[in-house]
Amino acid sequence: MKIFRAAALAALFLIGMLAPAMAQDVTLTSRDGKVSVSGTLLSFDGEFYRVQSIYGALTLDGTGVTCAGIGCPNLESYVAEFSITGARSMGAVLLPTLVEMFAEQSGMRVKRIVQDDSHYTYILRLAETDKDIARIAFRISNTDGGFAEMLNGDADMVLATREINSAETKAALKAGLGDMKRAARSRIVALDGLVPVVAQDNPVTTVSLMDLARIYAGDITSWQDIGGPDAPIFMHHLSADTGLAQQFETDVMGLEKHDLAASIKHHETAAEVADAVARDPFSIGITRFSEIGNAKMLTLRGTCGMAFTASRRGLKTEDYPLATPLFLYTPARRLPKTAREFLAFLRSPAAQRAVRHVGFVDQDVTQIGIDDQGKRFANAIAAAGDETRLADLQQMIEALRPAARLTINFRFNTGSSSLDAQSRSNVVLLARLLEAGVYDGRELMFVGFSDGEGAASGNRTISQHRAKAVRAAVKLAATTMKPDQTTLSTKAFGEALPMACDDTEWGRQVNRRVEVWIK
Amino acid sequence: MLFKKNYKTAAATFVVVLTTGFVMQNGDAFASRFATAVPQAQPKPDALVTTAENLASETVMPTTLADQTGLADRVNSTEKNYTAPNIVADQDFSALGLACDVTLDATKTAGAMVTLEFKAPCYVNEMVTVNHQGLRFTSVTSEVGHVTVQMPAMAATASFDVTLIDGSTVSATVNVPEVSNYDRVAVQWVGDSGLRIHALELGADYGERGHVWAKSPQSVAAVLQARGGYITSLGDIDFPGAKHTEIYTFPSGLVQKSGVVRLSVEAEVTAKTCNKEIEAQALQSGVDGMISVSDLILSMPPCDAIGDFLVLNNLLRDLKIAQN
Repeated sequence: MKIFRAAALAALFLIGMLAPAMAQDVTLTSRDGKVSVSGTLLSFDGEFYRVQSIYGALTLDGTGVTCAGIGCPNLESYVAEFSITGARSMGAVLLPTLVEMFAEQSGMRVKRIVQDDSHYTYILRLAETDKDIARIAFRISNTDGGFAEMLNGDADMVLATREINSAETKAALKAGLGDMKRAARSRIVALDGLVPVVAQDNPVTTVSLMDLARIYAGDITSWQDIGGPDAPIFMHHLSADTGLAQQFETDVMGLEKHDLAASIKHHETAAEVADAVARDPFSIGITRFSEIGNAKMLTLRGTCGMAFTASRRGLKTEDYPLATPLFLYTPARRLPKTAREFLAFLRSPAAQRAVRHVGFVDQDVTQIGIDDQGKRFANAIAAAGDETRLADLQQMIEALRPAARLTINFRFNTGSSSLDAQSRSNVVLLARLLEAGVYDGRELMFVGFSDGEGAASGNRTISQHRAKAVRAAVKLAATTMKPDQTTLSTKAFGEALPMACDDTEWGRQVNRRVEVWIK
Repeated sequence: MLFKKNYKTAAATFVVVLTTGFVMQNGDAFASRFATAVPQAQPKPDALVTTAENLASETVMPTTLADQTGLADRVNSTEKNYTAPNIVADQDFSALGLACDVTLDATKTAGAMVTLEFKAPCYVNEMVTVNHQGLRFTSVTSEVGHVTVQMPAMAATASFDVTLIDGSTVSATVNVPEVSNYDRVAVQWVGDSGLRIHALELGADYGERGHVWAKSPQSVAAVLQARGGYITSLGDIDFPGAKHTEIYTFPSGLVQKSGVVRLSVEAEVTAKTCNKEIEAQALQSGVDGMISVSDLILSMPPCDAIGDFLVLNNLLRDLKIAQN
């Protein structure tokens, strides 16, 4: 119902623009004149006609037919229109930069019509002919707002700092927008992470995830309790309708089922959180890695001495536990050609450069040499003992030493064997690289690791299964890869190389992973 | 109006220069100019007659020159209904007898600034447009046809050009490798829409030290001492089509701090701008490291908001300063 209404509205708008107050009757005839379809034009996207005919709604390729009748659109003056709604953290700087980069790459000039920080429209114009190609309307609010607009049929693309939730997924299905959980409905535009911040002159440098949850629950109220001065803690946070705040709720507050304290001061943007914290030495805030501002990032401390500082590399590998990929969702309906080209552009190297340029973490795959992993191997030695013996470590080092770790990594949803969102995206990413021949003649090792729960031998088996499962998923996605192009092997070392402590569920989740190493 | 005033000024200057012996130094040039210029240019009678009388009464004019040109006869024959030319000089020499050559010199100064010296002796009190890597603003030549302006370099190989009202252009290039120590952003507009950059440096709040904008612009001295940034406002005439630009400079490579400079653009809602669309441009570092220019149209709020400011936080990206 809603999808139909949206299409009808779009058609009405088109007609309103091109042929005011006229009926929409069209007859589409094949080039050889043998087949023709008559009906009411529902939409035209510059490429395809959608016609309500006696056979129902039909979509016809514009290049194969000629259009006759008063409802025919003016092909010359067609301008693609689509809208982007949702998260401010993505819509403020990241997406505008990507749109401008896309236009530049496509030989188009842009003009940005600005009403305010939340409402603006990009007009893309072909530089050669000065012809308008597309109008992209931005309506920026937050992730909740973006999905709400999509459910109302008002959004073609939704910017989200969290995955779509089950209520939204159900509503979308009901509204005829398709199964939003399907891979084709979303893509990761850039990577980011949740980070706790304090003022530069606050002496505290680390906080454990548990303590962070207790601070935001109001259970820890003095800096003294986490190694600071005897002073009250003032908490700043993003507003509850932002995807990042909801992610914090799940990933941090959910650890011990804490509720957020009422005394927290909420802000609409991450920049406001960072600024408020930077000015007050007794404040703590939750912001994103890409918006630390003038505040100081805290390192997350695990109970057994392992620490996680957010970094570009840590967010790519998800070794940093609070990584938050930034998503762009599209409902299942045909988008104008320019919109589809924009989506394809988002995966390009040029788009990754733009992502980096504006301070977000891109998805380019880089290599981490063994020399840069000293801390990890030190942790492994420290954790070795009865279950992981010296021989096991030596065997692991022997296998990994001639290779380098890729920033592509695979992790699983909590308490599940399904890959998390970033890892699902990584399956596609790695498959594309393999298809493109980036690793031709090399060997990629899928190296499985587990948490330390249970017996070491069992863990090795589990990690071997995971490595094989990930390899199979990548092979399946790399449809055009020839069998001998790249050797894809698997290895498994169980609990031998822990990244986090196994005494918490999140720690165990960090440890359960499949790394990719290149030889 | 503007041109009429120009003309009188030029004529007066003409006399002064003649009486100071300029002719003696540039005798040949002056003679050849004078021989052809008067009959062709046919200046406005009342102005030039006065000039000619002055010439005659002070007998500065070399006799040889007077003999060659028959000045008095020629002046007396000028037409009454002559209208003043836009350009006071003929094709080759100004009213001062200076060669009409248009020149532009760009010299690097401290703080990755550049001093531009534009000389067009035959274009007096004329609007010119200065262009530099996407920056553009309107200036007016002085009474001797000069424009001198101090402006920030936006690229290591900084090319400048100045375009005259007749479309002719001169260019100059200067190497300013120090540019890499500075972050520079700009907004520019046409007419009196009055956009303002506000910079909040490394945690400063509005009204505090470190809040840099047109009313608290600081200067290049601030960056030389690595204290903070400054605003440069260019485009110096109040004329409907005049182009203005406002540049903010921060010495990112010189300060010993890290953090963020928050940048916003404010546009006042005035009786002239309310409910209108203002065309503007934003300049900031592009993905390739060069300055990129974005075309903007600001839809100003309705007129019941006069006196308010449209505050835009996302037109210019904040500057992230990482200590080396």
